[in-house]
Amino acid sequence: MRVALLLMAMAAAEAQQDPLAALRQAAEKTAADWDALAKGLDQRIARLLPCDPAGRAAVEEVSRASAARLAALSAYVKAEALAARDDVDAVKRVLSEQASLGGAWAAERAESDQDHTALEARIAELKESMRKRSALSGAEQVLIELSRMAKDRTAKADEQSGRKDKVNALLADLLADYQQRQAALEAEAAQVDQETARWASYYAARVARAATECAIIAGPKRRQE
Amino acid sequence: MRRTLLLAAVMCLSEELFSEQPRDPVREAYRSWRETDPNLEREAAAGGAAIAQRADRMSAEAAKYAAARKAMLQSLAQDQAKQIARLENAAVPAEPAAASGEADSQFVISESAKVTRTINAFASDPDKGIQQLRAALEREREALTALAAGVSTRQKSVAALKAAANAIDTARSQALAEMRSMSEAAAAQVTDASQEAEAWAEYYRKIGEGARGDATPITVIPPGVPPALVNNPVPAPPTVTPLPLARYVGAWTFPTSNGLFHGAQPEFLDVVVFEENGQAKGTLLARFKLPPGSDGDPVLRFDFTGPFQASRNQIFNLTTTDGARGTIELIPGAAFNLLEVNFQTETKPGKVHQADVVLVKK
Repeated sequence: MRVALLLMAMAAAEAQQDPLAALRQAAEKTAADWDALAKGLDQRIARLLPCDPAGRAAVEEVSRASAARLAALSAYVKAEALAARDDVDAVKRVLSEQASLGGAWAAERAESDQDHTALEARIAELKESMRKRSALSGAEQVLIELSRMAKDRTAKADEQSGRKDKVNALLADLLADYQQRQAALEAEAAQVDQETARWASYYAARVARAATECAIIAGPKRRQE
Repeated sequence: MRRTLLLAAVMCLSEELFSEQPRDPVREAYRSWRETDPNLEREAAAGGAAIAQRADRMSAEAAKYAAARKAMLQSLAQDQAKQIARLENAAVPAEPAAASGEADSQFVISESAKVTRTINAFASDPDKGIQQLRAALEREREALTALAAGVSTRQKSVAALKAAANAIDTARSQALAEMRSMSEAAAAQVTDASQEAEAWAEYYRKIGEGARGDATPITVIPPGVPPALVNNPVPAPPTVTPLPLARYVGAWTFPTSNGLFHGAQPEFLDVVVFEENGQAKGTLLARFKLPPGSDGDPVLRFDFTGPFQASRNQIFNLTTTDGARGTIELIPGAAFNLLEVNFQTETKPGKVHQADVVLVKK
């Protein structure tokens, strides 16, 4: 008992944190309810007389369950479509900001390259000074190392810049996929709404058939009376 | 095509904006550094105190540039991490079974078959009532046919949805892998920038060292002569600190003009640091400028002690002459003769309890 209460409390807390999860749960539950009622309908009305009001009530109950599950599905799909739109916006932002970062790496590459060239010139000047003052050799060694670091920096920035092109292409593909998903969800939401009307028509026809069956049976009965 | 053009426009605009703004402080610091003394290397042969001072000035400018560059790289690494987190949060949930339309489709097929069987059974029955029932069944079948078309269309959307979700999953994993590599590389660049900053400080220190004494030209060594080796080399004294102890120990003072400080401004501030068996012992004596009308005590004196640690910055416990406790941090500066001192003590009424100053070696 305690475990069941704990599970229910956990499920409720989860639904509060994620409204989409709550809508999804409702869609699954109402669909299962309708499925069970629809599959059992024939068995329920098989033993009833055509004019038994319980027969019409049974069809109407399944009809209501169908409307409820379609409403729940519609609410879920519409919420998911809205969430998909947020995902599209998020990926657009990532793409735009990733492009900015790529720009920064391209600038880093260009400036590191210029820095390396400037360092080579400074090394040449320091070497000239060393001809008169050998004690500068320690500084020269460090400056050569710094020049190597600048060259290394250029190579790494170049690598980052190259990755940026790949990332941008992948993100552009990803954005197109997210947009397709959003479009599919919006189409599905519209189709669920259209389907709701068709299911209502079907169940109306089903109730009309029951009424016709009753009329056929009731006619000769009345005639006998 | 329109989407491609739009993306290209967004990306070009972003690159333009980003490549200019955050780099400006770095470029400014670089320009300032290079313009401070563009002829240092060319004129270093002259030697003397003037060259050492010029090297110190360049060292300070190089440190500013390094700090600006490190901040820019850290910002890049943080931005990259932010984009990764954003993409990680855009995971696509699996579609619920209720959305598949499978149960609807089965229902429609099964009911259509039943209705059709009944219609066929009554096909040749001339009874008027049965014909009415047959007509009702025909209308039901029409409704089921319309439903079948609707369910089928919805199932196509659901299939497109699943295909898009699979494509998203693959592209998202690939993009995240590349972005994580970029993020790791950006973090490594921050470390490289720190190493470069230390190398620049070392370079200017060596220029200053090389400028001392008389000029001695490089002796021309004939080819094939091996370099001389010291037979009894003297090992450097062992130390736990990553930088030489000389960067911490000795007598340090606050410069009389243009001294750098945060918090209370010193009139004078002297620090002496000794080392013995890996332990630091030191004293700070200072007099601070207090706001006009203040009746606080401008003089502060404290002793500090503790073991040297295997870290660049050294932190020791201190006790003031009034018994207040606190800590002092010794931070080696960008140049070998600079030491940043940052201390905090317990708050005592009328006493200076915090300051951050850059000192020069006496």
